[in-house]
Amino acid sequence: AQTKTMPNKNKSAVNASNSGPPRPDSNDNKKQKTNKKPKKDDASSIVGLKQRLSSIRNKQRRQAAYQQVRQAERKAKEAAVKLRRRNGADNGAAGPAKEPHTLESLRLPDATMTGPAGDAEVDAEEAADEFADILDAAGAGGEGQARLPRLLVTHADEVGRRTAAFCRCLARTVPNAVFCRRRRLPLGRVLAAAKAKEFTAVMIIGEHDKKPCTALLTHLPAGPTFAFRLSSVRLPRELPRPPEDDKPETVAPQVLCNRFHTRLGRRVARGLAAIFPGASGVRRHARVVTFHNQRDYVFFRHHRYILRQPGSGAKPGAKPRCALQEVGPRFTLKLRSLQTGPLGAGGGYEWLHKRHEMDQSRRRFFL
Amino acid sequence: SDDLIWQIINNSFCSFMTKTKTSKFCRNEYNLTGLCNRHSCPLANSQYATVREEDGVIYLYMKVAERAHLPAKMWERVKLHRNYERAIGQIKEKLIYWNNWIRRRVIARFDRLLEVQKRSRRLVLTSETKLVPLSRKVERRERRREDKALVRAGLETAIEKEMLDRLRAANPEEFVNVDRAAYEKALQAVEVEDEEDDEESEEEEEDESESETEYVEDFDESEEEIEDIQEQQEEGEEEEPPVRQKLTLSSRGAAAIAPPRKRAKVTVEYDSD
Repeated sequence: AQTKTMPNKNKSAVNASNSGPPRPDSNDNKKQKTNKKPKKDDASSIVGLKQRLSSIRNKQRRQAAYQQVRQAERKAKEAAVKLRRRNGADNGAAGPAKEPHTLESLRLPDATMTGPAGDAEVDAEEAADEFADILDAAGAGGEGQARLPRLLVTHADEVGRRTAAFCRCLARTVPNAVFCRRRRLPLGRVLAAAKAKEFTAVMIIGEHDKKPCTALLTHLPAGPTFAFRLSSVRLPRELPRPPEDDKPETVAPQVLCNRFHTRLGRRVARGLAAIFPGASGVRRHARVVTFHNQRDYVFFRHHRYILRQPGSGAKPGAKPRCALQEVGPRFTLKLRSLQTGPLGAGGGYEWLHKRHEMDQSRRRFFL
Repeated sequence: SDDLIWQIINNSFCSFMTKTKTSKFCRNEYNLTGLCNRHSCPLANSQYATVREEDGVIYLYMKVAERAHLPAKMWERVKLHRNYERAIGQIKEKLIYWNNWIRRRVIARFDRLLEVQKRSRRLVLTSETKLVPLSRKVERRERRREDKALVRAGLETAIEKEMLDRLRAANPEEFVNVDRAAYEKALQAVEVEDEEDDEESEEEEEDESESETEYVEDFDESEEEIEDIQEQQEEGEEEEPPVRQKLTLSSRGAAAIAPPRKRAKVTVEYDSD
């Protein structure tokens, strides 16, 4: 009869995986190394250990060895967490409380990122760029005459109802904006007409499968051209709490551009903000338009805000709050390219998204 | 021999022939007219000529009986001149003494090819939409990343925080924490004036003319959310609010917006510094 016992070689492995601490095995000196518990704080030694274990040819033994290492690691980690929790966040013995890793914390540092202290060089450049007369003049204590932005919103040929509705909505959100149907006009004529009627920017919404999918923003007369991918478009009636009224707004909104860190990001932020007139002051209740950049996705939101001071019945520690009501459309932009000069001038690309070169790391962001 | 060929391919089978209800077409690339005819058939005519376009260049092709036994060298190709008159001159020179029908047909075909070229070049210039292929995988990936970024963004919180910062920077005196109880005690000593309800006006011009900062008690703090902003701003509240007391401080330069004033108004005048 054939013996169904397992051959000698694997016995120890089986035993090791079942029982607790493994018995020393004379055949395999690599296995002896796993008998020692790996050091808790020496991560590199564990890595080195794992690398040595990877040369065990026998799969069962190898897996068993790995399992022990992992178990030991896990135990060490649990012990550390327990210690940390018991002693509070600043327990020196187990190390300080660690912030969980996020893409934002692990982001590859970009040479062009401006720190919180600001950058004189960047500020000087921005004072001289195409948007300075719209954005910066207003804030200069009213000395210079700020150029009033005027946006023309249009779309590609033969566009569906939803895209047209979105364009109309945009024109209502942006002060001093006008929506015009395209009617198969060649772009050259559109731009020429815009220049003649003194528009400062033209926004062209493109469509795919009856949904708006691209946004092309050109500043006139000399401005750069931004090409965005447009997604997640929600019209006001599609919001979770649609605003009941449709009053046209009389006051220029506050414009927030959040989390634009790099030089390119700042340029994009200024290019987007330059569609809106510079707000002369912060009112207690008004509108706010937000361009929030997260991982290169620029989220657009449009809210009415009101400052709420805590009343007398409030708890002693109550803080003033800013209540928001979402009003306008929602959409998300992702920058595809940035060209100098207005549309049609054939300007060079300041930045062009090249997937194969630029998307190689998940931790790299450009805005 | 031409007749023989024609008899065979016309009556039995020709692989280039396509029939519709009304006519017979010839799909042979050297065919001058495109129709399946005795005159037009490139196979059944040992002397034949065509014009064809190859990669934007127009050539005159000629086939003669002397080369009928050399299929590889059967067609002679002449590149026609870019100048129209000279091209026509070339055609007439090469096809001199040829069949009149063929000469006229070749020139007609040459004219047609030029027209087609002109039209397709103009079309390329005027067509502004470039069809760009979408990669499904890429679109899916972008969509997923966008959703995750949105979760990470925490938009409402971020906007509120930023707005509060701006408001604080603009009106720092408003953000001083005032002991409400102490105020109320002080106010009890002062006369209470009645005032009729004011309607909140949407136009900010009216509000801007006042140079007062007004503290008004609120009803519920954080529960009463956003649905009530509009009601508050426009109409009066229908519930019975607690007696609202109003402090009037004159200050400089603060953009003031009057929240709705209700019922009792208490006025304490302070001099501006």
